[in-house]
Amino acid sequence: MNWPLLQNSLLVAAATTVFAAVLGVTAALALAGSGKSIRHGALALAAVALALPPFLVTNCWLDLLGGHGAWREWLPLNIFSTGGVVWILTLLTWPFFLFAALGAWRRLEPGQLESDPALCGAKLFRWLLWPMARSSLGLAGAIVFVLALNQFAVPAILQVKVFPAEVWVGFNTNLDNLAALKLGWPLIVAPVLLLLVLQHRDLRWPRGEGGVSAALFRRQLGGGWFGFSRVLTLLALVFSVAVPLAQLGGSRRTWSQLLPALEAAWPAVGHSFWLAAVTATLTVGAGIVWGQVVRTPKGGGTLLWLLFFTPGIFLGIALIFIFNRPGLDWFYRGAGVMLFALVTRYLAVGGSGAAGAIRRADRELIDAARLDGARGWTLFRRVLWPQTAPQLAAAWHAVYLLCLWDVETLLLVLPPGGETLALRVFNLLHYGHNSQVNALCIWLLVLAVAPLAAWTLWRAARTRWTVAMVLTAIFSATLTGCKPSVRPSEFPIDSKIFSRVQIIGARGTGSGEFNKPRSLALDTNDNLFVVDMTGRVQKFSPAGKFLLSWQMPQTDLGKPKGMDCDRDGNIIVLEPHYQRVNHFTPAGRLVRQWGVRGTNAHELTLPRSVAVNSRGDIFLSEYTLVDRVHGFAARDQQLLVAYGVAGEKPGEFNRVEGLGIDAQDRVYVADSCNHRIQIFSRDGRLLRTHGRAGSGRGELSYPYDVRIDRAGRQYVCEFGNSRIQIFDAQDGPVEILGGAGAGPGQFSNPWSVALDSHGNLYVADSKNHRVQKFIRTPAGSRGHWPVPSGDPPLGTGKSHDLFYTLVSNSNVLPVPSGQWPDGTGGSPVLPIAP
Amino acid sequence: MSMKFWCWITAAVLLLIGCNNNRSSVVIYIAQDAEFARPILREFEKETGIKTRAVFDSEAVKTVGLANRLLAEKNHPQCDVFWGNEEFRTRQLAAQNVFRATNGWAAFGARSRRVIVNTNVMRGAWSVTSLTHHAPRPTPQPIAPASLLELTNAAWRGKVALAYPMFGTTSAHFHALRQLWGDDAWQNWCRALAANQPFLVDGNSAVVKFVARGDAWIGLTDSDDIAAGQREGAPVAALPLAAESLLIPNTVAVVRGAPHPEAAQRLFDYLQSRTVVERLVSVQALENISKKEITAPVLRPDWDALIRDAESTTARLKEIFLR
Repeated sequence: MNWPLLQNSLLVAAATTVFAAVLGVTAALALAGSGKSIRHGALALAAVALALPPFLVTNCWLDLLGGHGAWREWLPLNIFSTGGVVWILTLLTWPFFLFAALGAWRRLEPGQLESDPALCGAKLFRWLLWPMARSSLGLAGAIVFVLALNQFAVPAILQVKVFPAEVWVGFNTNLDNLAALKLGWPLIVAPVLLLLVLQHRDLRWPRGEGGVSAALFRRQLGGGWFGFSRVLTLLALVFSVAVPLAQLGGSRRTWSQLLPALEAAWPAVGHSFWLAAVTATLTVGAGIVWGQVVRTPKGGGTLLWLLFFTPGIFLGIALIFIFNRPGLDWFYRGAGVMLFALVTRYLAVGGSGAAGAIRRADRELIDAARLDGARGWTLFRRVLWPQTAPQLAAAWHAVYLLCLWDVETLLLVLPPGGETLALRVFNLLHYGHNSQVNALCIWLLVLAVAPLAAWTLWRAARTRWTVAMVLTAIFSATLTGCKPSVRPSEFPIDSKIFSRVQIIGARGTGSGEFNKPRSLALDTNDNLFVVDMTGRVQKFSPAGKFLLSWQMPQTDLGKPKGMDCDRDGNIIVLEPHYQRVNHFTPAGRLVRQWGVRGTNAHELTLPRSVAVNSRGDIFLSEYTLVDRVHGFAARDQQLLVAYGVAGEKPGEFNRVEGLGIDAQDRVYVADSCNHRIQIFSRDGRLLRTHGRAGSGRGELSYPYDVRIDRAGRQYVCEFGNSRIQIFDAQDGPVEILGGAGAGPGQFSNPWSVALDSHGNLYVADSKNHRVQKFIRTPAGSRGHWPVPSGDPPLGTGKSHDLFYTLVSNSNVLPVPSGQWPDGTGGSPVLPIAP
Repeated sequence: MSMKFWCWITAAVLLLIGCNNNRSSVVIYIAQDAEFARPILREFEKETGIKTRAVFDSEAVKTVGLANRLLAEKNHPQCDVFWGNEEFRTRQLAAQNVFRATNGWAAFGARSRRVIVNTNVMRGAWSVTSLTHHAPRPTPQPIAPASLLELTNAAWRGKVALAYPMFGTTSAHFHALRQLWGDDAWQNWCRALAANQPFLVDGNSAVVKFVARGDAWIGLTDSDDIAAGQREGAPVAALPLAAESLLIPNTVAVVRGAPHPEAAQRLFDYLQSRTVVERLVSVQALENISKKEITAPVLRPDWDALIRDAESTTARLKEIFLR
């Protein structure tokens, strides 16, 4: 027996119970004297506090008070201590006492408060409020004590060694369940002893009048007490709810994952909701029946409490032993075993709460109703429910919340496909998917307060049957697995050139999913090809629908990067680490492969990008041992041109990551570590450069790719600034798309761009694990372009049924159909709608 | 009892029972990232037409929740295939005859136990695997330790984070170190490490968080947790493999008495295929296709001896780290 650890655990559990009781009871005083809307709002927030996961709250406070915490300088408290553990567990559990006290005080009668003017302030609490709530508070105390005693994760993070570690070692490392159970006996016995001490005979109060108004309660309590309790309640809500929620909701990535996480976890949401709701209903229902049948509680209740005090893993082992038998597969493999496990675990909590409430009801009223012939449901609905509704609701909600977050009880009996939201959260947490974890935690909080919201709606609605049908529909949807479709993947954006953006793909390794997409290409039918860090090439239709994929055969040394379409319509895929150029048909068949390793003029060293000109000549960029651009003939890969060396001067390169070619076959080089674009003629003569390091307009940060449309506009993909900057044909900045973020139209380290035949822009949004398609403003729309008067047109053009007019200063005028291009010879042309 | 009552009872029973005598399905317990495992299982379903029904593990009760479940169900197995993410636990289960007698389990792929450092604080030769190679790095001061033995230096007092050495892959690593150094040297090192006030946390991902936050400067954790932290932007980097690094493969096993043995065999073979392993490597759930690819000197423990001495090693670890 590890006595120091047991001592730690008992100290933590006892201190948590005491502090949570003080906080919870004080909050109950404040809410009992507050108006209905404040009370309901505060109760909802208290439910959120109960529903927040311990790991999230602990990490939040570590960020604030840890070694490098934000508050450390002006609040030098040591969170890595027993006090820190008690602080966090108190913040997590005080609402149990709030629910218990408030539920008990709802039975107060005005006459009780007005009977003695001296019964106010501390005396009111000592002689009336405390005796009335004693039993409920004892129950809450037992629950909080058990939860704190069995806590392992929070003390472990805060470096406090506690007794459950011994149990986990036996269960976890030695795989010896029996030894672990034997070691864990103090975790079961201590709460039983506590419960025996805290149990009290229930007091029965006559019920002749209605409830106490908030104003009366406040007056009797006294201004000083009420003010103090309000301040403390506000602080409790701030520290236990507002601060963790601010951290939970403070990350943009969390909100961007909200709907995708819900869609992926929809079955788990349904399981969590119905298991928790049905368990709470069954346990409270059993307590209602028991409270009517057995008027004086006997020892049987303590036996049930043993099931709650026993760590859930042992309950799971016991259920496997009982139900994992040939004749019981029909039960063990279904959801029934999960429901049975939860009901068994929480029957004492829900049942005791409900039975206690029933026993405290006015017996004279009940007897009178029975004499009138009331029985069963009628008796409950007309006599018991009005007297006990708040206590029953509190018990129901407590069990509901405990079930929502239950992991230990279910893990060992969970049937395949029966995953709950809590289990999913902990699986994702294990593997570091923080933003998805946070998003699912938000949904769990929504589930936690959903019953309160439904209750408020029920009481407020005029037509209760309508409300009942709506709730039934929602319930059925979760059961049948109907899931909401993710909102359409197209979003409007504010841009002069594009009207909306479409999101293609999401993170993952399945078909249509990406893991850091790095390169894009489009074939002659505008089908999109994407290569990512899984080494796959995936093909999508112009509408963004996944069509097929193929795996690059060798990825041990590195993944493919650099794509374009050759003059035969094949997709070129570079393998930088293998110094290879591959040509695949759009169906994924390899038709040509070439490339020789080396640094000589016609050899390749880590080729990173490729572009094909109007003649089909293939241009490649390389870096590491050499920094240069090579041009090879389309037909036989004869070397045509090679230029560039490592350096910063014009014509020198520092890690070329992307190449683009305009309609005049000029080569645009994304010279990433020099933060500029260099433009060369077809024969390799430097024409000009633009860009310098920075994040302002016209400045660049690690440009990784560049594409040029028929108007000569350059679309530069900036890895460092997480944006696309658009320049006109004179290298003047026109527009900036995006910025860092995960929302539609935002980017996280984009790697590559591509333009289709309609001028739509594709962006490989690498760290967001998706591709974004910016859709050009439709035909007939002037978009945001100003329409100047008096500007003489410089010419007209047509390509792909788009009619152009040559203008100056990036302005356009619509051109009537029938006008044709008169040859541009290098002048800028801007496409507009026909 | 009224007819309406019996109708409700029947509906409730139908809702709660499970029917799974489908021959073209396979049940798999998975101790691997569900986000990466699910697409692999979907591909298997597409290729074979066999439906997979999976149960995943949870951080809250460690991987071993599944191991305990397999043991508890041994006499009447529900699971066909176990996909584990560490070798030690799989070998423990094999020693208890949970898997079929012949060709019961296999290892595939490899990740490693690594020392990680906070890159804002430490300097030294480490492999930066994130995309933040362009980010300017402030001038750090201390030099990263070259060996685990250096973790007991006073310079790292209160600056080291590791998961409880009695759990998971940390436990396997400590067991292997005992075999490498010998019992006396190992115990001395463990006591010195415990005395150096390390942060003992409840999991490997918590180690990454501690180091990323700067509460600890150095951590000992798994490479996939490091990669996950770097994906989230944590300023951490892994030190290169060393003689004390432990390789941890994924494992796949067919359960003895599996309800669907043919489907289990197909899934057993599929999970070991190169395509699957490469995919796991690409998402950094694994580092290498197999342990054989790693030629650097790393720990290569005698696993049978490790399992044999497991109880005594665990007892020593409890005595040293759970005081």
